[in-house]
Amino acid sequence: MPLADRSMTVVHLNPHAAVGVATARGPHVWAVASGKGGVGKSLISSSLGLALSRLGKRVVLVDLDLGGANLHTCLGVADPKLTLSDFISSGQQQINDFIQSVPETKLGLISGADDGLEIANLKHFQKQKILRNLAHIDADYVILDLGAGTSFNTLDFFIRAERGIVTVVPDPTSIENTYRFLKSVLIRRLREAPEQTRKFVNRVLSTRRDEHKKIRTLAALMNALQQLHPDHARQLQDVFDRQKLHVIVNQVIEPTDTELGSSMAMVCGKYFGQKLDYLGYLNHDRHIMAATRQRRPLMMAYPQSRSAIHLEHMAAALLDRDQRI
Amino acid sequence: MTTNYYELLEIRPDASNLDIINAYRRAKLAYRSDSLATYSLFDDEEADRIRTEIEQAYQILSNPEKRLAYDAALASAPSCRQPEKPGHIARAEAQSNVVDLADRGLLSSGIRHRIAEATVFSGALLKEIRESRGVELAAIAERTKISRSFLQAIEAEDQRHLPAPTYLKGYLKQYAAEIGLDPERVSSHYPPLQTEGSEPN
Repeated sequence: MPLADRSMTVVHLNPHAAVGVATARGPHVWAVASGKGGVGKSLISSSLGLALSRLGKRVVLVDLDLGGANLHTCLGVADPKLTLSDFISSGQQQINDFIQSVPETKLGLISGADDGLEIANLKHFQKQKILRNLAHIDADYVILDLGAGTSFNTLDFFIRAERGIVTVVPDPTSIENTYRFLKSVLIRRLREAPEQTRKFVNRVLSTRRDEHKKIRTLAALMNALQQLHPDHARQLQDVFDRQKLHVIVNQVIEPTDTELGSSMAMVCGKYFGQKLDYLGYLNHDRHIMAATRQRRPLMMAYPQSRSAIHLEHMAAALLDRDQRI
Repeated sequence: MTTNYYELLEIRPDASNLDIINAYRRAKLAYRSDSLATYSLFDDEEADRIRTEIEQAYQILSNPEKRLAYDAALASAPSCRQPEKPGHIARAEAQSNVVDLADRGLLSSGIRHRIAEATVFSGALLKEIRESRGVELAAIAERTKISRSFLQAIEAEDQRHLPAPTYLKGYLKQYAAEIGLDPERVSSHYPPLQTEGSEPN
């Protein structure tokens, strides 16, 4: 059972080692998600992929927006021959047989298109099959383009990644759903903590519920744990530290919205007690729409546009962080 | 101890004044009343409380004396450590800073050697020892109730502003004790007190 093996070893690893040393155990995995749809996930995942491949990395994009896949359209792959559905229903075939090349690039794509009705509601063993096989993809970097929202499928793909990137637009609905998504991610990750720690967390939460001073934020929970039982607090923090969280602000129009990302990072630190790294912002840019209409990636249609350059910088910054370890 | 102001402003305990001002601006932006970034996480009341804390943090950290006192209080309250990694490091650093400050004077062998060898405790040497031990003149004035202008005159050996010798001797002893020196030794080797007639034999 490769998955069990993998998760067992990861648990005992130094959490900081989980980022950046993935080559021995498969590619680096980054995931791009958002609380709300239409905020630029496909743009960002395809652009980060392209930028990484231009920096000499072998990159495979995986469209895991199941039931709403359109990464192939963003990349100009008109009619994907093989898709994730075929892989799921295949018997012994390798996941690498389902990678197709994206024209004019060195990118690989595992498309989610041509999905039957059932794929949007992936069964547990099907999800496990995908998760298990991500490590076998022949690439330096695998970038997951996820669906919007907080379904368990999306969360489980997201937390599999070393780096989780959420995109947000300066709009209360998007921000509300982003926080909801982050909250769901962290709660989902509680399951990775050792059983004793989980039990202790539950006990703290249930006893505090009676008292007047209820634990309202994750930061407050971490504080309480730290005071009651520093070992469990550290176990839990180690779990959270296995994944780095990043945020990109898209569709910025007002100049004041350029600081939204750093403000969100600060507020998240206060509320969740966890670091959210602000990667940068993208202006509302008509080139993005124009590129999508041409069914070409922004970086190829308008490589000198401000957004394309910003995205290149973000990819380079992330790559730099991976290599600095 | 309630909030750690360094953690609140997301700065290191050794942050410069500029760091503090910038962090304060960032925090004010993030928690301003029409901020999008707090939406759905903090309600008005909580955001209001956080804004008050930010103001307090800036009041304290932007004032060198208040900051020093706050650092000391922080270092002596290790029980309320924050769980998150940066907090851990920050708090450990805050503590090590304070210890460092106190130790630097004691452990710096150069100064220690000079104190042991000194035949004259000039005002300049006294000032150097005081500074190496991280003791503020204001703190000595506060504790001894000796006016700061006298303390400054002692360090400057400023004859015109020094009190009469009898008083000076008393002040000097108290001052010496505050910076961890032997009061008798200092008062008998302080140049302005060594007039021709009272040369130690």
